[in-house]
Amino acid sequence: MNGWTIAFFTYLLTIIIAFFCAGMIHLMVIILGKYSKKKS
Amino acid sequence: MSWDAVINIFQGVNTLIDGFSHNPKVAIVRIVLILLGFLLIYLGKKEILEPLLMIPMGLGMAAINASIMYFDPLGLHGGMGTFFVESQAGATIDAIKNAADIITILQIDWLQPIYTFTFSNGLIACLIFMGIGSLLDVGYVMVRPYQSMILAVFAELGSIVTLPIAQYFGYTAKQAAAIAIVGGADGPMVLFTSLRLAPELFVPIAIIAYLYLGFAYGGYPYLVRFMVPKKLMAIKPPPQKKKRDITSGEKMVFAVVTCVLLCFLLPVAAPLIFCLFFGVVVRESGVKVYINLLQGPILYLSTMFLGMLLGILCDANTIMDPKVLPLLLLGILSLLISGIGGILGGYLLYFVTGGKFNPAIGIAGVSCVPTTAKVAQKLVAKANRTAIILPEALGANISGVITTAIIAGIYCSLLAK
Repeated sequence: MNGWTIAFFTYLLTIIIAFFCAGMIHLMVIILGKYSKKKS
Repeated sequence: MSWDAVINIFQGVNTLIDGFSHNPKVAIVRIVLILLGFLLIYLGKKEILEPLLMIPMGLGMAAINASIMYFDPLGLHGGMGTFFVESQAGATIDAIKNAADIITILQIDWLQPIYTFTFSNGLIACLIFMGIGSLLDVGYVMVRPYQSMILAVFAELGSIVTLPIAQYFGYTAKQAAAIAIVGGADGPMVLFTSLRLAPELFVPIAIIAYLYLGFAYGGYPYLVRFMVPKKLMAIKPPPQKKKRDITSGEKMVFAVVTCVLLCFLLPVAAPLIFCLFFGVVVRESGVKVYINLLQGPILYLSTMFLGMLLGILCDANTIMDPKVLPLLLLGILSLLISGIGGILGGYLLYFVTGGKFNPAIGIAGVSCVPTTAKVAQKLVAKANRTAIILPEALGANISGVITTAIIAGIYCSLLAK
């Protein structure tokens, strides 16, 4: 793989993983929020 | 007693005089580095550069270049060396000779045990990450995950674009990736990646990365002022809709799940990811003795020895290595592109939110925790005293650490064999 291909592939994968993490955080906050409401 | 015997007592002076007659370039660089060491101490004291790193680094740099003498037990530096540390010990391909060399040097150089057992295996980077983790409040990311990640992804442009550029300078893909990660502005991650991908460039990359991280503290404000007009810099973030407070239990669940997930996706970067989230978990667990241990002795002892070792590794021979000069250029280019990328990310959010987002926050996507967040807050406060952007900036900052870990993990997985 040449440098630009590695760079492009890495950036694409980073964006996917980063937004997957962000989505997971968002989901977690919603679920934990509902759980804590139920508890209270 | 002969004159030679007297002058031999003062070997620092003697090697310098010798240097001027045999290799004047190295002798001049020695003097320049001593003066640069003094300058770093002064700038650290004045808090123009990060004092925690620059003071031990400056003193180390000045002392190592002053204390060169006729001593070279491994025959690596033309008969000259010091009693501090030998970074080349064990760098040959002969494993038995390496072990013998390391044992010899461990018994002589006083800082060698710290270099061999904490620095050259990445342990010091992991310890610093534990300390940083124990200072991070992940609640800032949990409140605004998408916004933080957008800024962080933009602020990684330098870590990406520098890779192919470095290849034009003749570096291999592995070396280029180790250099490019400087753009993540995350010191421990740079140490870790260069150890995995380009151990032969580990010392110069580490020195350059930390030197520039110090300069980022002083240089990024100029970049932000250049790219963001005062009117936009004064934008106050809109008042947040009243959200419930995120509890420490929730932050702990977040840290545990994210840690396991990222370790699962990127096992190569797992030591650093684990250490960062271990710090976060300890912070949120409320175990005071561990929190105090990580936030105090572990973080500051590691930072102090890291700074000192980086300074001590800055001897004239290392700096004069022809491979180092392009590194100086590529390191600063990488950080510059990342800074520009972060601010462009800020502008994207500014347009998406219809002018409500302050683009200066973008610089905090560069993951130099918490320096770039503090830089953003300072600049915005100068333009508008009532604007508090620190929560947004810290969110971007923490996301920057995560994205840099992702990129380091991908580079190591793709390129390390």
